[in-house]
Amino acid sequence: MASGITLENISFHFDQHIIIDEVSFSVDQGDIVCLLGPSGCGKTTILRLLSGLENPNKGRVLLNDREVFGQGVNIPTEKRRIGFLFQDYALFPHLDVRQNIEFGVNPRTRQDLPHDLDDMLKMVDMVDYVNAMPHTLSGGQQQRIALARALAPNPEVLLLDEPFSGLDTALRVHLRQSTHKILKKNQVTTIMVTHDPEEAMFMADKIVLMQHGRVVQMGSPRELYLQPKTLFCADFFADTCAFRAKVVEDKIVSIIGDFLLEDLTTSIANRLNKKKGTGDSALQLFFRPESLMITIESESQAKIDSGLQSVNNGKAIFKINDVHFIGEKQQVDIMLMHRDSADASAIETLHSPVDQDSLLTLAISAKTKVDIGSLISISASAGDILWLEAL
Amino acid sequence: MVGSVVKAMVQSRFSFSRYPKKTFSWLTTLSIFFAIILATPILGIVFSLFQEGQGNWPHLVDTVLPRYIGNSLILMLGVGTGVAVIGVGSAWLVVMCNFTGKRFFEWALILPLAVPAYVVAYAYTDVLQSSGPVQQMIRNLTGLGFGEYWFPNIRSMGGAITIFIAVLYPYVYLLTRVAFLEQSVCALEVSRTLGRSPLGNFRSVALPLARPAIVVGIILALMETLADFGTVFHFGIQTFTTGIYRTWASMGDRIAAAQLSSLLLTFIFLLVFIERYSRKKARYFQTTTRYTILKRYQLTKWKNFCAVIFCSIPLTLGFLAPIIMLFYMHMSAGHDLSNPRYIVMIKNSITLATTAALVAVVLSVFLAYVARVQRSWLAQVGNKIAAMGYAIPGTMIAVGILYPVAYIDQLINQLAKQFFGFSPGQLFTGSITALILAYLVRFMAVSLNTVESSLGKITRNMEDASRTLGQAKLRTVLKVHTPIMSGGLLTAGLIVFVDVMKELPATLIMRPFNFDTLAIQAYNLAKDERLTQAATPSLVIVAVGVLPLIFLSRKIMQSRTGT
Repeated sequence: MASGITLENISFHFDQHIIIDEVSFSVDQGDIVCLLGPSGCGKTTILRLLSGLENPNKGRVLLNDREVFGQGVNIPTEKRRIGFLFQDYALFPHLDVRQNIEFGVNPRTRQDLPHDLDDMLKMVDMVDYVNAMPHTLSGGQQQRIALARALAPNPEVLLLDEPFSGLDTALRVHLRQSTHKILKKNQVTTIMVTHDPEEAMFMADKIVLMQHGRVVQMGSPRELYLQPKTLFCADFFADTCAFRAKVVEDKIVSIIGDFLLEDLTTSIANRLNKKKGTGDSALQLFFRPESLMITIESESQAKIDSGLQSVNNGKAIFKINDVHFIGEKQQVDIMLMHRDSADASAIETLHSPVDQDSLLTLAISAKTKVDIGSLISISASAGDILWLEAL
Repeated sequence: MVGSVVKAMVQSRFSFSRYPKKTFSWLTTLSIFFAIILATPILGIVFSLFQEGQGNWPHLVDTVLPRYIGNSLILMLGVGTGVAVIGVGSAWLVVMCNFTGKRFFEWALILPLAVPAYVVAYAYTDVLQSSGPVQQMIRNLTGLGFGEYWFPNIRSMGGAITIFIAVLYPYVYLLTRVAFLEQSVCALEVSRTLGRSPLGNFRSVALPLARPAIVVGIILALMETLADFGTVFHFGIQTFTTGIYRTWASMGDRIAAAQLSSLLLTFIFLLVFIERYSRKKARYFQTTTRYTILKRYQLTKWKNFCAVIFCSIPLTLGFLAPIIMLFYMHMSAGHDLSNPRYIVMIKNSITLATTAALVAVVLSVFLAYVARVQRSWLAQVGNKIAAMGYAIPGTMIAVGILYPVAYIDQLINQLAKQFFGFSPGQLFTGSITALILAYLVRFMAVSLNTVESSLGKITRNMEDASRTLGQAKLRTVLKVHTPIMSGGLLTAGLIVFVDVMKELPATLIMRPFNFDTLAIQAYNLAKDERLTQAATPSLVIVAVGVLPLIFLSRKIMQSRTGT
């Protein structure tokens, strides 16, 4: 597929602050790519560099295989054919809805466009507001007008800067659905900036995860969620639980249970075996809280402690600290402590979502089991993340 | 100065982005150059401290200086107290209460700002002096002769304080009104639920919350009091401004006048410091961005009557009475406005005011835009320097400009003589150019603050949106900036125009020979005790000032934070 947007080794810095550091990625035509990351990681700056509102210190930018920035090339913003939806929508307060949408449409080439004003208004479901002034519109309506305005000149690419951030939850969900539909229907090549992983997973064909001005990982939403390459990536998408473990003979021994090396993929098992050979057998286990499967064994007697149950599996004490109603699921806060620890300090608190139906049967078992398939990673040492593929 | 009030009400929201700041460029250099030109008077005065004058300084210190300081302090104390009571009281009434004529008073209470204090002084003097109609009427009614009854002397410290209070209380009123509007609902309702009465509420919540705004209002009024020349000169009260003028005009000692100015500068810097401190504090007083419609106290019977009287007195004293008096004086023995001399004076006034307004607005747009696009702290500092003159009296600005201008003239003459063998004479001293420069120094802040606040309405994203929608920089300025800012530019121009029309001391000292304006004509006639005739130019000045002020006051009243 032809490339809609290409960034090659883009760097941007000033006053010794590195804002963007050697960023490269591409977006296929008609795809939606989400730039995801914490505040200040350089997501919005990428959009500004792409649109020409700021100039990179080095690198190349190509839009539909046309170089717009590079060695001796710097096409001004107004000639890049980019649609930009700003976080605050930036509607012109002195113009009504019609004039705002038509602002970027050249009257001489209007007839060449595949749509007219009415089509745009219909697309964003704002036909009745054609003469309204921006200040009379709600946040959601302003967002839709800003989207229509950005799409009206039929841009080659669309850049969305946190387009749903100022809206309440229900409206945000509704608008991201309708925006996704519009973008896909019109096959608009889009880069959207967001710091909300759920939003990114919903909207994106591909997610580019950023940290400190660099790309940490990119791939499909499923890849980033289930196969994170770094702890940062794993943590960014959802809670993770971490436990110390060690390799003993043919097993990984941990406080939450033991895992047979033969259950792991060959390459990882080999690496762990090598590790065992070095005498340093310490490692860490990571998994998502929802992977924690809690079962009851008949011989175990739940120990009532402060009205909440706790139990030990021979190695550790599991204690239900609190249960929160969060709608479809319940969040159970489980504190994990060493059995023999005198101060009984928590080594980990798990926030595990549990189905409402299972509330009544929920109790701590003497044997807690983590499904090996859902164990997301093992860190043999800091920065060394090994992906465990589900068996 | 209305602009300072507008500045306080509409704080520019400009903030630097996290993108590269350009510290040096030709645009920044140019804006710094303009800032330095506008800072010339202050630099001139400071420079004078190191100069040897004609030896008048020790004499001044021994004789008149203590009187200047004492009189200035008494004036400040009296005016400060008066404007605080009237300004805060009327603001509280129109914001928090419903009473007869509230909607009228809400905007009309600003009107005294249109009338220069010296014009009010001329009107009151003419009507209240012993030969005036009021005392004549008393004598006719009682049969008493001159000197056989007590009547307050308007030409006194008390008279001057009364006049300043009557024309300057709107500064406190305007700022306090906005402060009450902004704080009201969130804090006041909590206070009511905690058992405070309306009056207790005012004392323990509203007043402390509005204190920074009140202080800024009082400081602005005090700055105007210190800057006044016409009123104190007419009433024979010796203050810094009259002293500076006398030292310069009578003793011809430019250095001593500048040294006297530098002492006044200390007073002013102290006020500026307090004002800045209060304003900074005021920013943190806002705890919410949510506002609801105010629930006002309904005043009935005697409370209603008292509220109407409380608001009517300052409006009458500061605006209605002087206007009626001036009109009466003009009708009884005023000059004919169609007289060619008047036509010339009106033309001169309008030419000066229009030129200053246009230059001020164009320069403000340049300075504000450069500071914004360059994202440079240097340009920001430059703009602060350019706006410094709003605190400095016209007399001082004139003295401060004359010194460097005379130096430049001298330099040009020396160089011309050396290279071309002739002296061109005084090119800048006593020229329109120097006078316009003085106006710019004095009123640049008015224009710059208004332009900055209207530029602040255009977010950076709006500019960027226009660019991404295919409009180049110039077209963005034409299609986005110009229509959004047009109202602000007009307002800035109008305020400078009116301020220049009213300006007296700088014009008096710096005008070209035989070049008279309406303000100068009013001053000259009043100086010669031809007060009735002084009504004619005064009335024209007021008429020119009042129309834009009504327009502005209506506009200000329509604005309500959070709605």
